Amino acid sequence: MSHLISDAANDGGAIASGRELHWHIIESTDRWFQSYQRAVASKPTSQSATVTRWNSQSVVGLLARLKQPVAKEPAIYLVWEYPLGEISPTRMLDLIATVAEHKPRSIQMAHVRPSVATSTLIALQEAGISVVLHDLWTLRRVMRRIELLHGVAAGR
Amino acid sequence: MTDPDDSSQTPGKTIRKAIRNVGRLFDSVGQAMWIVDSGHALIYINAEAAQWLGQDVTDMLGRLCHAAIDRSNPLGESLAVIAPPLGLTTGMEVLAEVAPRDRANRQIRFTKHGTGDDAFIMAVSGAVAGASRDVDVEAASALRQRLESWRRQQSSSGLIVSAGSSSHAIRIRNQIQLVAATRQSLAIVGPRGSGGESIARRIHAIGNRPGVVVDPIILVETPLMDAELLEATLSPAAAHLGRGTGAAVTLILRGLDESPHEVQDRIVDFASGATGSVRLVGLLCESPNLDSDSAAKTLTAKMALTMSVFELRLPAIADRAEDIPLIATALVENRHATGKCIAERLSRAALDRLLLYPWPENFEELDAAIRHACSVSRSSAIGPDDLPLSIRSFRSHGLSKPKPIVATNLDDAMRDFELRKIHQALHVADGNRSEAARLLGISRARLLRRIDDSADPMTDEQSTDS
Repeated sequence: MSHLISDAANDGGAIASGRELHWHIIESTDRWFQSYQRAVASKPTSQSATVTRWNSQSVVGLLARLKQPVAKEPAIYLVWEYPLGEISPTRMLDLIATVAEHKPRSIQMAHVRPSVATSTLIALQEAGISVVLHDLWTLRRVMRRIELLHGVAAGR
Repeated sequence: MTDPDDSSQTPGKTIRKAIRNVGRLFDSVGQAMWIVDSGHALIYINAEAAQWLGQDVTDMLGRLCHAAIDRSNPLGESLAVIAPPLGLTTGMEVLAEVAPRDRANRQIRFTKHGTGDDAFIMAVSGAVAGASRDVDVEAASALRQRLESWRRQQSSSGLIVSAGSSSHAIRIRNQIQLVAATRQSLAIVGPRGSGGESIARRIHAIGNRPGVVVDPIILVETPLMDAELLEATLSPAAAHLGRGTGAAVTLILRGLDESPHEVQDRIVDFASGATGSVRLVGLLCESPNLDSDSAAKTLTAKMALTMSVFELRLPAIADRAEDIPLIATALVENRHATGKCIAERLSRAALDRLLLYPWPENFEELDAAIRHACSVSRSSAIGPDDLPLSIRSFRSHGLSKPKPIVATNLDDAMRDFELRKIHQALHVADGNRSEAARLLGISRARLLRRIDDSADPMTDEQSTDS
């Protein structure tokens, strides 16, 4: 099975659904998206997963997609970068909380710039962030853990 | 809560006397107005503000007024909503939108005056042009308000999980009250989707200590952690605890029984070594086992010891079927109250469907089903057609399950195959033989012959003639 990549920041978010693992990377640039792809490229095997990149403009589409009921729920992983464009802390909190409400089993991760206030980071954690990513390399380690837990190559 | 008659025992005695004297003047002001002293007691509120909140002035005066107080009654809710933002310093002004439940929002200007015990914060509705403003504090205030709204929603979800009159529901509610009264770590044990996280948030909301700061509750995805990730994820909690003065944090440990042992021990060490109070809430599938020496045990000895002190067991929602109508109705009402759906109730037929369904994904599945039904329903009552397809099309196979058949030769195998098809057709046709024959494309007489030949008591008992 192929690894399906979509760039919602550019193409409006059209992507195939019904895969086992769905990754959503929400960032201003494409650093985390590239890091994800490099981690995927380093794996010899192939397994189904989809990854979609969103930015501050297209992120509304992510919410619309996650709110849609699906017959078989995939495992959903989100990587948020904060600050994200001009998005305010309250808007960010709303986005994360909405995902947590509609997909309570999704796993939401965040990379937060060191200058962000602790109280803001705590608020984001309260809303649904359960993994704080230290740097780009930590994403690879998380992907490896997911791979072990699922018994599949999570990044594929 | 502070006793209104015991106000002389709290700081700010001088300022309270002065405020009382000018109270009549403030009462004539057409804007909502209130004053909170340095001890977070509401020392003045005018009639306009009380009317806006739907409360009585005398009920509110002298009560504690901060975001962490018990919101389980309307008075507590109002006092929490009008609490001044954190971080105000003398001379600072902050504009914040105050949004009481079911009431119109208002822009409120909070200003702090005085220092020490005689300091007080005045809140007046409406902004004053040209006044100095602190954008950072306003942003923090907006964030706090949004967070409070999110906390409220999550906490009410926990309340709904424990709703009902079954013995399980009563036990869960009692255990929540018991553990919320302490800072004890606990294990919430239950199958996937049973609402453990909502219960944890409910316990946290009830048990939040009375004071200025609302203690944070932080999610930790423990199966994905290693030492470095754990440090990054817990660093905001560590920073909060570092403030001292009895700071506290609750950590919700998701998937604890799937987490690496090294991570478990680090979490216990973090909790025991912290300067403030750390409550660990482990979400587990199995009870912590202290006796197991097996290498395959899911919890380390340290974590098992921490988790075994208090265990709150959540049954599968199908095991407390009598609570399902109440829980589902509460979910609908909750969504209706927040303006998220037109529907106000579930029809009898929809409730029957909910009772038949086995809910393999537990409370979360029920919550998602109600959310779906609310979004598609266009009337005041949710009908069966508004429910997700998997629920409205579910049929119980318990009674009509065909008996296992062992074929010995081709004729027997053909007969068994025919019988299975007849069973299925009868099931779909609710036992109506004529309808079953039509579905199979054979005559009713032929269907009856096959049933007679098989002499299958299951087929005979469940089918009926039209």
